[in-house]
Amino acid sequence: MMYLSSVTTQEAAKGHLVPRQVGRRKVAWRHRLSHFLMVAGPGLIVMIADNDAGAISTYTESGARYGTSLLWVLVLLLPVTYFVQEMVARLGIATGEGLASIIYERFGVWWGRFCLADLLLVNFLTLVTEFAAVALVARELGYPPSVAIPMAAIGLILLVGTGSYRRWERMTLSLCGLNIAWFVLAIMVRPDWGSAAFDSVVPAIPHGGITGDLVFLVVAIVGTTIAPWQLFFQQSCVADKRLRFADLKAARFDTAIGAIAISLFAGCMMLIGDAMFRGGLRYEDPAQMATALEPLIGRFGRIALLMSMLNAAVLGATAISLSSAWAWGEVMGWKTTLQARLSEAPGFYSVYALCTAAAAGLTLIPGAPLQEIILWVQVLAGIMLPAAIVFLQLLLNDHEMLGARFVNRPWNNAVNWTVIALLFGLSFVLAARALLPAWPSFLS
Amino acid sequence: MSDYPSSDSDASVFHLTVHPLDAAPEQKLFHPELGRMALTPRVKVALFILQGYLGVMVLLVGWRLIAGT
Repeated sequence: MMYLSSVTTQEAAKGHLVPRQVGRRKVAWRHRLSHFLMVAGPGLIVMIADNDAGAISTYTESGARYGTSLLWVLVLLLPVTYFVQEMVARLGIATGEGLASIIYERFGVWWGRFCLADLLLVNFLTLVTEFAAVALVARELGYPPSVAIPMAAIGLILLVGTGSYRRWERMTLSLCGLNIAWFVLAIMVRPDWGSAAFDSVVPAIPHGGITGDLVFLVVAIVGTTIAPWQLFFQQSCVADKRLRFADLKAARFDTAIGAIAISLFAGCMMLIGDAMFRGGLRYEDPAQMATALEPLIGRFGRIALLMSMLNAAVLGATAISLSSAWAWGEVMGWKTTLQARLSEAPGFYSVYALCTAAAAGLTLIPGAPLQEIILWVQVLAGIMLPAAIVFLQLLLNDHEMLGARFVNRPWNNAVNWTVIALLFGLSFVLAARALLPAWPSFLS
Repeated sequence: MSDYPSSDSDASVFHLTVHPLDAAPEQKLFHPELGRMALTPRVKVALFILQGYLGVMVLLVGWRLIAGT
């Protein structure tokens, strides 16, 4: 193979790229950039898709209730998100397999089926919340949800059915690019940049002290930023893209940029919510917030906010459905690649289409129990995330499989076990709060 | 062909970057013959804690379901 190496004139003539004769330093720089651009995708997509409809709701609500005083939580979560996702990128590159199939093979059928069933269930319920957001935006824009939801579902199915990973990645990255609108919207609400910068770096408890609601909101922010589907999605995506050992550095960079992007976009969402806080406006949901802020951001801003919410729901829905389809297909031993045509991977595409269509259909049922669904998403994520992350950590200490090159370093393990202990605690609080609403009342 | 170097010494400045999907597949570290992971003390402890956590969660869910009916 000739990739990532210096080649002779004859070899270059046979290659995919025609090189130009330029200085050594320029070539090295261009080489690194072109290499990164070819490898980038899974890390950026998983991170930006994580800012889905539920995340927008959590971040804007926290801004609307506590202003900018919880921005520091996002800054603290940035390295945590990176460390967790870097592990799946590394494992995906080393093994060329998805997380679901490796858990199945290395920990046995019981754990494999448990993880798969929990993942599929929590993913499906999360998918319902994405379509609920589509309905909310459609209503706010004056379109009937009965038209908007099927259109969104059809669009999502067409997005993956092109038979080309690259086409899917380009289209999805374009949708990710639309997130720039959050920066514009954050500027339009004219935040107090000084206090936002201060609150980002100086952790402080909001006015009112530690209450049950505050604890729950902080835990919800953590639960929103690190979701179980992300682990499965990125590893399968890395495996589907066939990233090579030599791509690890670029994949890490891709993940780091994604982690920074997700924190910045989440910060923008908090700043937009903060406009409600400063204006003393009542917050119900992000769609109502868009209308409430219209005097400040204008009609264009309102529509941009609603469309950004729609974009987030679509991005979240495609990533979540794909993580289900990849995981199921890997465990079943099916062909699971976006490079395959519909006829070549019918099982993989059927799971994707089935998840999307069923979630859309459930959202269309009048009086669907959406509040109950949100509750069970939190409970199941509280069960799933610690399990998935423990398996991930054990796999990354699996010398027999990974050898010395890809296993965690001691400092890596120290950081990751700390993160895992924190996630155990926070996931438990989130699930317990959802199951036992009166539980943290002693904090109030 | 004017872009190509005229001497061997120039040739070393060229790099060829191939998209991962266009490259020949490389031998990965995972293969099904590996079987189950060895149950070292660390793995045992981690799985034991995980089972305990899941047990508590199941009890909470059960309580909620019973209390809800």
